[in-house]
Amino acid sequence: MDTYSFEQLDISLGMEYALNKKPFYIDTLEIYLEETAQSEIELKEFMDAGDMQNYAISVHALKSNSRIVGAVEMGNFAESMERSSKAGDLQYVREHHYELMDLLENVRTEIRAYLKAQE
Amino acid sequence: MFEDHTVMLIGAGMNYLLTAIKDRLNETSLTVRVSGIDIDTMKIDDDIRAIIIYTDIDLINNQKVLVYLKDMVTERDIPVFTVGSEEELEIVRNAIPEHLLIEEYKRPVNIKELSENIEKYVLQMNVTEKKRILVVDDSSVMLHNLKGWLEDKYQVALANSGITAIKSITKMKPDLLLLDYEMPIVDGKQIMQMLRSEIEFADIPIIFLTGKGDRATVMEVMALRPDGYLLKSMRPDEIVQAIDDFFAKQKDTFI
Repeated sequence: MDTYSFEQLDISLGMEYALNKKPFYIDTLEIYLEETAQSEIELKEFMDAGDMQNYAISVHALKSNSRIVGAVEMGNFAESMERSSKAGDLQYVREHHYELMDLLENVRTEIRAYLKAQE
Repeated sequence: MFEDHTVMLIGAGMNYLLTAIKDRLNETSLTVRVSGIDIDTMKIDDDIRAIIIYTDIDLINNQKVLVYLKDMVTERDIPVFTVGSEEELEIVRNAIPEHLLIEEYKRPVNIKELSENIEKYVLQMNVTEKKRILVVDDSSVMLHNLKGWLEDKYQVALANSGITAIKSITKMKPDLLLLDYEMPIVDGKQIMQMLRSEIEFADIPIIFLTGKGDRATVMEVMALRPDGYLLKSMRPDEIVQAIDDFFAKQKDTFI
C-alpha cells in the first residue's frame, strides 16, 4: 500500500474521485497541473483589472478542481475567495490573492512529487 | 430521441430494384428516406439509424459522394449495408470504415432477407445502444472525471464552452445535457435559454452541474426548470446513480 505524508493532498480522497484507479488519478493530476497554471495567470489578470465577476468564475473552477484531486484546504480557500469576489470585495481579494497562489504552489509541488514517485 | 426507426436508402435513380427494396423496407417497422447520390440533397439527419447503399457505376465513380458518406458515417457512427456487384462492393469497402460495414449483399439480392436483417439490426440497436450524454464544463479536470465516471454505461461527449456545446449538439443531438451552471462568457443558464428557444433542441433534457448547494442557488437553478441538478461535490457513484435514475424515470414516463 502506498503511504504518503502530504500536507495538502489527500491522496485517498483524490483516488475516490478517480474510482480508485491510479492511472485515472494520475491523468486527473496532470490535467490539474496544466489547468491551474492557466488559472494562475487568469486570476492575476482579472484581479489587476478589478474584474471580480470573472475572478469569481475562475476561482470557482479552481475550487471544484482542487477538491476533486483531494486538495481540500485549497478548495476551501478558493471558496472563500469565490464568495468575496462574487460580493465584489476587491480589497479582500487583493489582500488574499497571493496567499491563495502560495497555497496553490504548495499543492502543485506535492502533486509533482506524487507523480514523480509513480514513475 | 426514442425509438428512431429511420433508415436512409441511397441509390442513383429509382430503378425497379431500388423501388422494390424501398417498398419492402417500408413494410417493416422502419421508415425509409431515399436519397440520390447528390451531396446537396443527401440529408443524413440525426434520426438516421442505418444507411443502405445501393451501389452502381455512378456511385462508385463519384469520389466526392464516397468521401462524404465516409465522413458522415464515421462522425455519427452509422452502420452501413451495401448492395452491389463484387467490384462495386469492393470499392465501397475501401471507403467505409470496416467496423461500420455491417453486411454486404451481392446482386441478385434477396430483398425479403435484406429488409428483415436491416430491421432486426436497427431494432436491436435501439435496445442495446448506450444513451448519449454531452457534458459541458469549463474545467478540463471536471470533463475528464465526468467522462471517466460515465463512459462505462454511457456514450460521453465533452464540450468546454457554450459555443463548442452548441456545435456538438448540431452535429449529434444528445439524450442528455449535463451542463455546468457557472461558466465564463456564456453560462449554463444562457445555454439553456438558447436551446429552449430552438424547436429542434428544445426537448433535450438538461441537468445542471453546480458547485453550490446552498438554498438560494438551488432555487435559482430550479426556477429555470431544468430536468434536475447535481452538485459537483457529489461522489462518482452518486452522480452515476442520479443519471441512471433520470433515464429510468424517463423510460417509465414514455411507456
